[in-house]
Amino acid sequence: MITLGIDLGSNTIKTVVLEDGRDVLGSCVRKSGYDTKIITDECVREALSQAGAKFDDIKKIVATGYGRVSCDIAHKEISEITCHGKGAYFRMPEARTIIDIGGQDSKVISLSDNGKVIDFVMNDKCAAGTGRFLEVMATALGVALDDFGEISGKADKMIDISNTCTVFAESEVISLLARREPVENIIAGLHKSIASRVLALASRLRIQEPVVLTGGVAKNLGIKRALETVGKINIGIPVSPQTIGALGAALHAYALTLK
Amino acid sequence: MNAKNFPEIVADICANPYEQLKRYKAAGKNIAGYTCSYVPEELLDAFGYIPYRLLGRAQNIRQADRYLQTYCCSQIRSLLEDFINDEYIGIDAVIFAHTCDSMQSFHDIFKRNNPDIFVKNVNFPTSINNDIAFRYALAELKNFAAALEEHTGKTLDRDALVESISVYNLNRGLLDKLYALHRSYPKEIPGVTLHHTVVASMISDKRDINGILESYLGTFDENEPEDDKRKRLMLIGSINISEDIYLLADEFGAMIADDDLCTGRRYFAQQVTEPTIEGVARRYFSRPHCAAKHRGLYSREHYLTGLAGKCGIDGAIFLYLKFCDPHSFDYPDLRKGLEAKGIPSQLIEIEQSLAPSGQIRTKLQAFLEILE
Repeated sequence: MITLGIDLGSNTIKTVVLEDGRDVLGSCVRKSGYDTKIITDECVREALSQAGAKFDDIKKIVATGYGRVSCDIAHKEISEITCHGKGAYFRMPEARTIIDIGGQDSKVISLSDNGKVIDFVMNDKCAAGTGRFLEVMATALGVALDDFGEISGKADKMIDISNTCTVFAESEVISLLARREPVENIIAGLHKSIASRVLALASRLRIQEPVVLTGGVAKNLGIKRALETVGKINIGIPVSPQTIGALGAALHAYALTLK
Repeated sequence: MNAKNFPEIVADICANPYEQLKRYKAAGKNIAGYTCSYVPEELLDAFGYIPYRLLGRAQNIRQADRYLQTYCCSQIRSLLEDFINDEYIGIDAVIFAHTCDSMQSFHDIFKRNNPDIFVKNVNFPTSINNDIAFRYALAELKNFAAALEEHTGKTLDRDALVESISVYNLNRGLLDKLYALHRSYPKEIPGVTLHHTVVASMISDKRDINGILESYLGTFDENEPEDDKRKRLMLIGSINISEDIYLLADEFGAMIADDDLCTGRRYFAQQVTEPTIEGVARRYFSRPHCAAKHRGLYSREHYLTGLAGKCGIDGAIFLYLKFCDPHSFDYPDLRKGLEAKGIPSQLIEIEQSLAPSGQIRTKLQAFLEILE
């Protein structure tokens, strides 16, 4: 039985095609763009193509993410908090805390022993501590965001970025460049800044290990290192961290077929 | 006015607060704007004013940011924007009460820049748990009455005060009954009608609201309570001028069963039991207080857990204005206190001048998914 999960995030759209609530047959990640519907359709087609399945084979569809309310092919919409919980627990059943750093927000989610979401916190004041923060800094530094993890691995120290505000931190980064600080140390400092911000958010909950990092930013290993260093915790990263929300949605869609 | 149309009538008043002010002015009434529920409305009413709660409705704050730091909450910045935009033109008096630092400073700025309006600050004490504080509060209310006498040239008429207190007590009793009936008939009396009715009461002559509210409530006396299994939420916070949280709760199959809001139960809780200024002061010392006042380390926690138990609350939403210091300081302990009683909670911070963001929707939906 085929089910589909669609995660319509602020930055990217993700799809996962699941068989029998167990096997991922196909997945896709695309930049959101201005026409969400077209990109969503492309993303669904790509995941179905990988799965060797047709749209009519899909029994249930669940949408999640900020664009979930406008997804007219979904049978149900579920919040990304619940979907990330479900997806992360499926990949790593030992997970008890999830840190999800997305394009425009960060979330920390607590799971019970049976994988149920029991509490969560979200940033809600500004872009600090989100993927958007890193995007702005990549532009300021003239470095591809995808290279941040590798470059920061060469750092011999994490420079303190004292400004939390994205706009002020950007000015600070430009000043650091003018002082000829090595770019790898600046990037490591930016990772530390995000890690500090997210861990401060997480401290509102009881952080229980193992901690799992999901979302697009999890592909950046520099963030993992910074979270581990600043938080003195071990961080696990599941397979395909960016599609964990869509996977959770596909799992919920499977649960719908059993009702 | 037809009682059956009551929900639409209060929704309309709530959506058009400036029009309500203009209607009263056109009818030749004197309007006293006030910023806080610690302003004694009964005294204003006894002097012939219609007390009109200033909630701040400006949706785009532009000019106020020239005068106030952005760390002032959006209520105060919206209020100033409203005044700059002449939304309250014709208002006869503006009365403040001491609560938070931002409101106190707003009073100072407002008074200095509006010499032609009667502006008064009721310096209500922060501690409301001892006899010295009570005597101080009573003296402040008497000073306020004396200032009104001097400004209006009238003497406080004891019979007028008795009549005002009676009208306000009736309104409080009716609002309390509305909340109780909402829990029995949540579909017929949706949560948003509670919000509309309280806010409409705050900006209307109570005599205009009481009659039709009483008739509306009377239509439920014979009905069987609805069988409603929705999750019951309680809102906790300062003021809320938006109906969105009520509509979102309905959309997600839950209900706002009760609240501890300045624009909710705190406004009408407790009657004045003695028709005098002392009685008015005494009510403030016995009603549930806000985060800007102090009655004891655990007074709010005990009150909230008690209210939650009485109303069968499944979860609490802390609905805070961003940068509201008094409520934010109370939050960690209140959250722990509710958790200890098995009541989960979620914090949602809002800017009252902005439309609800996707985050509010996500937070409420995710919280309700946890409660399922």
